[in-house]
Amino acid sequence: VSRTARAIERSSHDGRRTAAQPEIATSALRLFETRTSLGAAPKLTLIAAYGLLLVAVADNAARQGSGGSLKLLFWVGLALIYGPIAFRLFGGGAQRSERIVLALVLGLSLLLVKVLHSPAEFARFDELGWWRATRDVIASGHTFGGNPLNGSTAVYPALATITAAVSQLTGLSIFHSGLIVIAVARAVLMLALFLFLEQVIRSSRAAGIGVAIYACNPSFLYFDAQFAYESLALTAAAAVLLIALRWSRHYRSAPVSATVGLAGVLLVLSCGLTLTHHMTSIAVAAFLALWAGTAATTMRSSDARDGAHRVHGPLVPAALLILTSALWLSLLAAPATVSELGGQFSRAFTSVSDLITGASSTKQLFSGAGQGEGLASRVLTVAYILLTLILVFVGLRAMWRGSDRVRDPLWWTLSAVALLYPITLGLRLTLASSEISQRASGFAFLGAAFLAALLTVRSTRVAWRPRALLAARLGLTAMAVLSLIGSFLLGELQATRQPGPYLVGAEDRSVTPEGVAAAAFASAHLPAGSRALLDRTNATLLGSYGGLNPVFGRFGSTSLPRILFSSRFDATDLRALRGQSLAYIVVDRRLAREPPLIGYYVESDEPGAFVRKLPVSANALAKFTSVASLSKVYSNGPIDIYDTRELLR
Amino acid sequence: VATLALALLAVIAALVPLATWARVILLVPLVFALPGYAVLSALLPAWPIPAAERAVYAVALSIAVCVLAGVSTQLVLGLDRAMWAAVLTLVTVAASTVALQRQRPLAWRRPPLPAVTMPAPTTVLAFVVAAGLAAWAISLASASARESRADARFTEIWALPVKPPAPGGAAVSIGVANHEDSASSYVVDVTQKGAALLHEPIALRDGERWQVRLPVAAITGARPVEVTLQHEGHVYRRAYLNSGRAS
Repeated sequence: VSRTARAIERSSHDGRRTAAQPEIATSALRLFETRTSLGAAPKLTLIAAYGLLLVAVADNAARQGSGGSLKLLFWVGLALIYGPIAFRLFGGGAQRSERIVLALVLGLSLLLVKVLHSPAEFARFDELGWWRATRDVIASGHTFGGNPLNGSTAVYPALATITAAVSQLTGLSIFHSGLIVIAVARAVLMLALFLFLEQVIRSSRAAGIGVAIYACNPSFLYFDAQFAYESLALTAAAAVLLIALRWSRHYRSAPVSATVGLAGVLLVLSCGLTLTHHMTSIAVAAFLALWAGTAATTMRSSDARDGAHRVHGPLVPAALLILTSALWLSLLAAPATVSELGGQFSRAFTSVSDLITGASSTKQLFSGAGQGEGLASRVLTVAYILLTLILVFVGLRAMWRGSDRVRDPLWWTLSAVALLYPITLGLRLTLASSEISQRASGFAFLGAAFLAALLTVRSTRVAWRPRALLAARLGLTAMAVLSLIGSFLLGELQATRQPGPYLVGAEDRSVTPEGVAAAAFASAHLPAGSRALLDRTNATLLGSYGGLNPVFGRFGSTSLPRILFSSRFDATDLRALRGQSLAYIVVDRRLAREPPLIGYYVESDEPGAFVRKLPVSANALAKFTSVASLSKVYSNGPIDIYDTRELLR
Repeated sequence: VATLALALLAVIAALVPLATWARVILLVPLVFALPGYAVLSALLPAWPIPAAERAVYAVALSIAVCVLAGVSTQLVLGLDRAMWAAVLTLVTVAASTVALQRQRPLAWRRPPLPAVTMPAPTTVLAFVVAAGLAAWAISLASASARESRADARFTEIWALPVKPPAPGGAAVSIGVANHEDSASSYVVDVTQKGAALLHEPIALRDGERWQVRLPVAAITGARPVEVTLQHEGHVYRRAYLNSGRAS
């Protein structure tokens, strides 16, 4: 058995393991796992931990407002976490169990980089929306409650429900319970991704490299590490893909009871994914449908005559997920989903069509929303994009020219997913569509990871000299580190990469003790659920910790932010206030310091969004002091809360 | 059997008073591992799934089962600690029972479990030290975040209408909270239509708050209530209640 195990491990390194030995492989690998050491994994884990210490020191320096060399330690820390692990994964010396441990260490270490950014509380808009949803589940004992910060939390309750379960059972705060949920999700995502790629390419080395490349997607470091539904949904998606692969590959050798059992697991996981996140459910359903379609078109005529082949291929997983998603949408989730996704896609479509027809120009590249990038950042970002494009196109070329497994429909489907990257890259040319490009990267990089893994397998067929091999590994590691840093530069605003002093309209950089104190006041003294007009940051805080219901949008033709920013309070403002029954107006006078970094103060379609060069005037924010019948019920210096209820009577 | 035992241990932990760390150790598996492992064992009692893949399904199924069970339960009963413990234990016990029933006739087919070898002590030590370093990094970041929060120095003032002590009258609740990072002295002045209702010097330690409930005449546009807070000789904060209606 041990000879068999060694043979399998050797063949799994170079991708030559055949499908004809699953039973022997399963039992041998199980035994093999318990006998192998973890190789360099302990040392590399220690190095990653030192990297985390450097990130913490750099973040602390940034938090205190001191710039310079200490802040640069952040990048050194990132490289120290990622580089050595990537170097080891690129090599052929590590055993399977070591690669699995390294994938887990990499995923969890990069998650901790996000935790070090805000170690005491959630601070991002999405995170605080989910904090509110979880608190409502705990307070009411029921899901499906409305959420003024994110309407989708009511109809996709998985994250809030599971976090509430952890919090209620253990007595931990929502923050700590949420961190546990996200950490478990990240660990399982890395493991599932590794196993998926390993089974697709039949090489543990390729799987390790695929996981390392997946970590270079622009959402991985912060966006998909935040306390929000996509972070959990990616894990559910990876599990669905893994079980779908097992279903499609092993049906011929499975007895009927196992087939029913696999279908049961598929169904439960599909329901879990459906209740977690709309976009991920749709993306995975589309992937499975594409895979099933590709399988059908490449099916041999003998297989086509075999009805069981059709049932047991990827068609059943695709059908189950499409069925559960469609059912959930038709029962409950359609309005919120259409409102959220429809809005995003229609804005993106309009902005791209305007760009094509010349009605608008591209956004200023490398400017984020308000801050320009330095030359080094620009070079790194461009290098990252070029490297990814090269990876995709070289990988696709290898697919096209390859003679083995080219008939595998899953390989073609994954290659098609990789093509999403260059396609969605174009969406970064406009501000309105940039978010879609950013969010798509979490899915598109599954294809990129596959192509990277595929190229690895192909490269092992070339006889390398030891020195050339070492040079190649070093070169690949350097490019991978550069890609990780470039992806982070591309995916995260300059101001929000590290903590720091207050900035206007800069997501977590705008969260300050004054805002938290105002939220605590609202929670203790103002009627819960009162409708209020606020800027985005204070809406996040007072809508979550404060228990108020921030109101966005318009009343008739009047954009609600106009009430905050008009030079004087007039009849139009009063009509909108009345029309929306706004009980409180929260004014943050710091908004007059500078234009908002993300491009808007309240919401992305407010007047002046993304084009504002000057901040709102201090007089506009101070106008409420002269409005009769308004009561200023709270002030902490920068933040005032006005009670409008007498005015609206 | 071990899953059943752990589930029963967890339900006991949920119902008796325990330290938070003990609850975390005993109850987190009830959310993330036990229900999924039991359901997987019930659905696929004899299908050979490697350990790593089984772990993925166990956790993913646990999350899905927890969500489905929670969402279904809340339609009829509210979710609280006892309900979560009961529901998740029930699912685990039911699925484990089915798994045991289905596995019994297949027991002879199962390969013997491989011997579990412990990692080398140096390996364990390296992981423990790495975990310690990561914990140190988090504690450094937490301390820094607390410090930067303390750097923000401000004082809160509020004035809210409250239920009056007698019909026909009015009352206000006034509060001051000190976040100046040091003990501070203030003077609170409350006036209504120019008449002084309160003039009170107060001294608050950092983090301390002061509150008073004050009866006032009915608040109208002609008789607003104004609260000013003086600090270091100048008006520092101001709040007011104004009905805007003529008396």
